Amino acid sequence: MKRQRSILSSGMDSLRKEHQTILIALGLVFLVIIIAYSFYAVERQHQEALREAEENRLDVEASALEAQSSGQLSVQLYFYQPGVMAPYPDLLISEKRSIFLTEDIILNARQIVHEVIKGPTVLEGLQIFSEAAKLRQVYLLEDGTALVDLSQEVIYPLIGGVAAELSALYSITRSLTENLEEIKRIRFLIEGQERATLAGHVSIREPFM
Amino acid sequence: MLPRRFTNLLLTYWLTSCCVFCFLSAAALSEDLEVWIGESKRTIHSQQRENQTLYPLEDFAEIVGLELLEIGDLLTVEGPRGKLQLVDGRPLVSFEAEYILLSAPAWKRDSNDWYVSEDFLTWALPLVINRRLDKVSEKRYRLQGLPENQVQVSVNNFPDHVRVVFQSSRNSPIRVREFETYIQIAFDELLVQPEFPAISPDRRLVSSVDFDSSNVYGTFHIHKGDLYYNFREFTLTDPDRKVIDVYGQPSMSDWRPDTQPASPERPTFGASTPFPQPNIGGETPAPSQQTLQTLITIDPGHGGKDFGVNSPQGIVEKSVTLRVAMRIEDLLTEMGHRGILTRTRDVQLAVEQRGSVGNHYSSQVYLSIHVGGSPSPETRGPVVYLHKYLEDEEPLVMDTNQEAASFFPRRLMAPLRLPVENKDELVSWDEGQEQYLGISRELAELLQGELNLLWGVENRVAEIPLAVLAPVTAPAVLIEMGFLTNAADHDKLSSREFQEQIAQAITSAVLAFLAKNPAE
Repeated sequence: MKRQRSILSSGMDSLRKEHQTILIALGLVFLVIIIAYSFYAVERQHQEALREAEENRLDVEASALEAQSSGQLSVQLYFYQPGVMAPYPDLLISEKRSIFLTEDIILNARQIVHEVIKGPTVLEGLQIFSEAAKLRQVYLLEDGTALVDLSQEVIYPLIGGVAAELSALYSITRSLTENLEEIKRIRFLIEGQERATLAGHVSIREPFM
Repeated sequence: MLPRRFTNLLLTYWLTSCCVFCFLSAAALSEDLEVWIGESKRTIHSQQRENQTLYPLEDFAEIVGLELLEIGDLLTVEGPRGKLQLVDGRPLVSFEAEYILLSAPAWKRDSNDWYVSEDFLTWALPLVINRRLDKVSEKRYRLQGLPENQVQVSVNNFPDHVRVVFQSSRNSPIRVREFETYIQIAFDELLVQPEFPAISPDRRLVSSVDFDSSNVYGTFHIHKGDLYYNFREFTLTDPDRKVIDVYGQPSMSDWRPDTQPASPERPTFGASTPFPQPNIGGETPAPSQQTLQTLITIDPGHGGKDFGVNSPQGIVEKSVTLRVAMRIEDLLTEMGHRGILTRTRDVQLAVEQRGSVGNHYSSQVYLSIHVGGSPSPETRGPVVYLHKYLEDEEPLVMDTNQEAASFFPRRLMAPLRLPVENKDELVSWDEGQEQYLGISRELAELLQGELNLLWGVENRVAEIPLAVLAPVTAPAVLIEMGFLTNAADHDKLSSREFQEQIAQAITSAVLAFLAKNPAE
């Protein structure tokens, strides 16, 4: 037995590797904690954005309800049509919905944009906008140009690609210009700024109509 | 029964101990390094010191042919390509005023008996030896014998360009790439031994030609001068020479000899007005690489933080576009044209930067490469997009021609259209594409046809206001090579073979377009 032990102890040098193993194990645990935390942080940020978007929508609805003058206004909303590569206004599909009718055009316009961002109800799953997308404000100029100021989250859409981007722009444009005759054309702003594109492809320097 | 069982138990215990011992010994032995030279193997035995595995430097010196010179605590290691210096007890190696940090300090046991960590072999040694040392697997290396390639550099200053010729003693693959401040001439397979010219280049075009030995084989850099405009390359054989002609900006009109045409234009890449043929040593260049006829700008979409379309399987648009764009560039170069990429790595570019690359190089064709995404998973196939100017339906009120104004949308009105023949007229940034819309459609139809054939679909060209194409003063299109949101397209786009086929289809459509529309 003694001899066997002495043989074993000659390999003890290599047991220092155990320390390495412990260190590696600790490192892995640390790494797992970091990864888990970053997932948690991203998810929390996303939830926060969703909550803000929802609050923003409810705010508009509440103000509209308060300012409601004569019942409800039936509006025709436009959405992306599956399979269309260049979704121009005439290639969108429409859906009827109602909003609170108020004297304030801006409030009406904001309700319409919120409904468009929510996506279609008839064709579920064909949602273009991110759930966290937020309408910051709508401004109306004297010449009938409406400035639609969208939040940063709108440029990280769920899908990406030219067709999705163009349909996002035209669904807002057509829904607004057709339902509110005071609005002639739309200019898009992101976080209050003029940008070259909405999400990397379609130019938003020119007004849409 | 009992004693026999006890014996069996003892035997098992002994056998297990033997196994454990063998395993531990093998583990301890595996710290040794193996260096293979051809079919023969040299083993470098490890030494343990303060929990660090070190190796005798003398063994390395013997294998790769180094001279060791010791002065006190300092050791100089001299190889064919330079000297390394080590100090006892410090984890640093100095090489030409730079320091390389090792994982363990060098250790001197006795006079001329030095020990270093394994990363000395990977990081420091290749700097001074003239053979390649490849890591085959953990603790195993292979020393490759690298034959030398004498590369003679010569410079000729011509009135309108500087010619740099690289003449190599052996045939080895050469790759020429353009970077922002220099042109890189990279040699492969053989170790380059540079010989520099006595004549220095005209500094206005080429500020310097230097040799970078930090990679395995060696690379030359032609640094661009202040008046650099563009370059062209061609190859001559017997002996093998790579010729780079560096041209200056069009403003260098005082450079042009009287025999040149009086027109002040820059050197064009047109097939109809080719470059004057070089005539070094009396031969003409090989026909396939005779001239770089046309510049084609290829813009790989997205990049950096902007991933583009993501698929749940982890395929991202920015990587697919870069890979295909680089292949298109290679294929065009093989056909004697010159491709310019707006990005060659994973970086985010502003949309204005993308368009300006095409205009800066006055490219003949501009391709923006993208991948599609759609909320409806059945949408599939390639789509080629053209730029479309949004028409303001309200007529522009003009004092003159009021009648016409009431009939035509603003952009269709003649007074506001740019005269095609007068290219010097100032054009606003977003209106660059306006006069090229017709020819862009021709390019788009050719591309759509080729790609439809590859997919077996019948998709059509679409027009959309695209920020990347709006400023481009050349036939320009944006190609979406299928939809990552469609399962079949996803499989296609993630396969290297299909990416190659896409690159080939796009290249052949561009070549067909250039054949029909030769550059002016």
